[in-house]
Amino acid sequence: MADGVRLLNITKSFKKGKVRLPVLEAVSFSVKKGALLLLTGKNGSGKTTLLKIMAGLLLPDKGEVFLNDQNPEAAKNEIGYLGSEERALYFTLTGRQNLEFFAALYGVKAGEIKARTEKLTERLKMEPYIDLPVEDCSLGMRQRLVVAKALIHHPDICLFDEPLKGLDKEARKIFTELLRFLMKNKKTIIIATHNETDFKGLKFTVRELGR
Amino acid sequence: MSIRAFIKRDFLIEKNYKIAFFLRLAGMYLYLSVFYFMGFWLEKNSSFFSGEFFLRVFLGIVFAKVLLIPLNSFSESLRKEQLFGTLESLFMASKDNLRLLAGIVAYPLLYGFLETAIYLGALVFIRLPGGINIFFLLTGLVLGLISMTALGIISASFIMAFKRGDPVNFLLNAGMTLLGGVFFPVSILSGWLLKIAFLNPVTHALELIRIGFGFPGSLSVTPIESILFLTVFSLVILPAALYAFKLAVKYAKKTGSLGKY
Repeated sequence: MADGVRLLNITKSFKKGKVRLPVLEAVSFSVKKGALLLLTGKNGSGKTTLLKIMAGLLLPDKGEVFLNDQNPEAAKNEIGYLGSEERALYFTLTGRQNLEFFAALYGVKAGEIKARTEKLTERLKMEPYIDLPVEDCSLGMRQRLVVAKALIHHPDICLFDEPLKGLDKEARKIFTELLRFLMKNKKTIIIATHNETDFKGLKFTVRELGR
Repeated sequence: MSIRAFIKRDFLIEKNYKIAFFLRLAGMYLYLSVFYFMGFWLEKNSSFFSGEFFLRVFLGIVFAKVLLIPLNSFSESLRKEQLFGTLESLFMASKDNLRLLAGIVAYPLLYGFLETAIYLGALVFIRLPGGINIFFLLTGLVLGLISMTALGIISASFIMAFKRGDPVNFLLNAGMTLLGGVFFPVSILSGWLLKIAFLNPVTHALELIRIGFGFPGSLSVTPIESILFLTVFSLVILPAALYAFKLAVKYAKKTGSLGKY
């Protein structure tokens, strides 16, 4: 039994017409509970693909994923996934309504939803716009909201795809503080990024894909 | 809990479009009024119509609308989520496919029931041909909805796998209405059209609902046989539909098209 993330020989290719494009070739690694791993690599090296496989949104051709010793489907409620899709919110609803909706889907108890929303709003400094419709929020504000959405159910494993996209200097600082807090609370974090320097000051390991 | 969350979400989204609700209602009443005047004219000029043409069509249209909700809502709601970019998030947050499917169809169904209740309010001014039989009325409605849910999930499976161009929905929507006894009794059909009409769950559901409102039966089968047909249809098609949806999700996860539109 081992907590954290373990990948064994993950292989994935996509069929484009008659051609099969290999994206991941026998990728294996493990990340201990409470550790931060940065997935780096060129465009198209398979960072997003690998995160989606870990999240259970994509099936590998070969290989296995273990999240806290379970497969991604069984560990669903322990995953906080932040995809690269910036539209992953209901734009006519407010940020708060979005967070409350997803919290309820994740099975957060009704009495806790409000408190958790407040806490994340405060931590990510979203007070000025949490009650605005998402369509009236800037890209950076939306990015903070999707970070909050990924964490609303207190997941054990955080899978973030380019989480700093669209964030200004202040928001990046807030996000780094958030990562520090998550690591302190023994959350396992895997981040797909192009820029390791964004995470200076934090203890992390790097796994470069596509080499 | 999750179903309640879906209902609340959809209500909050719909709340932004208040005028659409009233326009939809007004549009349906206008549509129904066409049949009212048609019935008035037919009943006045022909001994064939025994004063119940309008009521028969009225019940047919109103209940076919409810029965078609699950057929259309699964695929429409999934398509919307694909376009919003929220489908992956829903899959991550929902415990299983069943809860996800139940959630996305909950509000449209609730809204459909509310609309039906409003339309049925018109019955206060119309004399029914006989007494109401709650058993047949509810059995027809519930079994009809379950049957259409099964077909709706098959339709949603196409959307999940291929995004657009759902042939099931296109064919079923046309066929269900035309060959389901909505506007005319299917007994006037013959040959293969009649055979298809008898395999159509809407035909049996509407037959039971109309019997529930005091109409005499119009099919060559008894109401109990209609109940049996709908029960067997649901028992066979619903598990098959859920399996088809599971396969469609697996296909989308294999090809990486879950979040695409």
